[in-house]
Amino acid sequence: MDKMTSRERVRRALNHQEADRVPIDIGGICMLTTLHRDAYAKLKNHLGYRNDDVTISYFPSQCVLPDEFIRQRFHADCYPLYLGNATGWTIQLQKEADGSTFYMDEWGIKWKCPSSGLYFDPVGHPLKDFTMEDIDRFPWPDPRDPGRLAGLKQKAKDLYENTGYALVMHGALGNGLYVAVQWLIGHEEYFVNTIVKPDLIHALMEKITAYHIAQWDAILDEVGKYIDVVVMSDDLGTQTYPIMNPKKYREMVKPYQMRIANFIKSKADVKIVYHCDGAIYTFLPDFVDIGFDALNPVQVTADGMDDTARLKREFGDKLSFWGAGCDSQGVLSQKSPAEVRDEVQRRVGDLAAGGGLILSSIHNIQRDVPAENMVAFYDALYEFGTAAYRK
Amino acid sequence: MATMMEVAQAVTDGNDVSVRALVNQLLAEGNRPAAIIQQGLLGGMAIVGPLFRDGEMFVPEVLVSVRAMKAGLEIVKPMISDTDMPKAGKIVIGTVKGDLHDIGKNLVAMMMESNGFEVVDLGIDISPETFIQAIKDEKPDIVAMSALLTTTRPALDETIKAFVAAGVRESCKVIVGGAPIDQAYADKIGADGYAPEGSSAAELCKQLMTA
Repeated sequence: MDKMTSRERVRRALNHQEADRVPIDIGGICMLTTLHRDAYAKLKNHLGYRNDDVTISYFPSQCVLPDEFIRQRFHADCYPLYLGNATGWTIQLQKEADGSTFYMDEWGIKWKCPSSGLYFDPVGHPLKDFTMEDIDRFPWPDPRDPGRLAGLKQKAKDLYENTGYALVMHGALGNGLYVAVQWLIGHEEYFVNTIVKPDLIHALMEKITAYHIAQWDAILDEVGKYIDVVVMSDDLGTQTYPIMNPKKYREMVKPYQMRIANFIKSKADVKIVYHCDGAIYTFLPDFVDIGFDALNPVQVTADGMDDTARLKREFGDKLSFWGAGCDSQGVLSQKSPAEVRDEVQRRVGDLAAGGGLILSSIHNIQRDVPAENMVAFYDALYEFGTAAYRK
Repeated sequence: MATMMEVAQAVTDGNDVSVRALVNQLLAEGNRPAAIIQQGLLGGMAIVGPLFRDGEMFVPEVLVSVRAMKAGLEIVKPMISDTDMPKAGKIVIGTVKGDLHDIGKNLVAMMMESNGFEVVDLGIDISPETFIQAIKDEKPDIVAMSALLTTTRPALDETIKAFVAAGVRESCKVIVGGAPIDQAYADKIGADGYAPEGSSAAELCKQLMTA
């Protein structure tokens, strides 16, 4: 087969066709398939590559936009596009007395990083203890603020015309729906109110859905013809079980996801990669029903997700798998480079046949991963991804 | 006439309105507050725990049941003294330094309380020094520590080592939990136990109290 562009390779994968090799994503999903800045520094140092100019692609996760050097070195096929800030808004970092750092985002959510922490988590919720009147009175940001889209079209066009990368576009609010509602009202408050005040939760979900649709409308007007993939997200599993009753999910979350997915697909010829951590096997038929094209990250250490051969057998013709490269909780940071390579070989063996696989790390690579393991991991993605389709 | 079973059922159903009404009725009928707590309120959580562990109830329903139980507890707790209620033991719980995650830890604390333990919840981002001070101040039977991230997992090991250095390790049992934790890791760092979720954590604590 002739050498393909990354774009062709990713398109074939998402259309369930084999390519010259399995596509690789390093940082294409800008907050989920890249590296934490400390891990990135380790990797660059190990490779003898120096560039002190680091771009943080998603502030709460403190993760990076990889350099072109890294993408080339490890044969990455995807490039991320994401929104800017609203006009005139910038992050203002402040310190608390306990040494932690925090900022208030545009929605009034407080994000905090503990003094020895690595990322920011949402700890202050502007709609805590909310009523229906609070929802109406809330100063909802404007999805069409020109600051968010400034320069996006030119950047997408430039990448589309001058590189072969598959372009992955991100939306607002970490691409999340019910998780975004949690950020606004509190984690436990969301869960409790899905049962005791469902009308309030539905009202908030309507608002967030309308926001996302307006945002995607603006985004796709600008870059719809340049991009291949958009990202949607909402975690539905803990390590060992679904976070909510699947019946509740179908009532409280799924219809809104479906509305957004349908809007996106009606507006542009793009695929949707859906990020969902945890023990979520039970929801896979729902994801197919919604029309998600790919599932990220395939957290193999979560209950029901380790048997990647079974996932492929049962869903592989309808759902692509985006991630799955290596167990990120027990292997990538804990085992030897040879064991990391073995794990990649297993996952590629389980998932590559017939396309429908884009390889990446399972979530961002963290700083406790030895640099040798990072290199072994990325090299193994290429080695086994190439062998998988060798005729 | 209200029954303890009806209270327990209302807790399982997460119906705080019914719990309050039934608790008040039971009090009016001359039932002892401690018995209402033990058989009615904690009795309801004793049904919830295994259902949660076995995947028949989920996080939202458990939180709502706890809320219903607390609605009843608000009424009867002021009526009892510390000596009326047999305590299963005392537990200090917290999420380790550098980690802000707490839903799992909160659920574990709720399950422990529902099983009759007195729980002192230190909160999140807890340094070894703060845990050590809590051991000295509270004299717990068990210290329970949570870490959600692979990058904060080492803090469990560091904290246990700090307990040893401070001479407090032998004064209590130490159990650990969180998404990236498993039995092998718990054994490796010298913890006395590991549990994957709240209901089994409470069972583990009961076993450790008799050990």
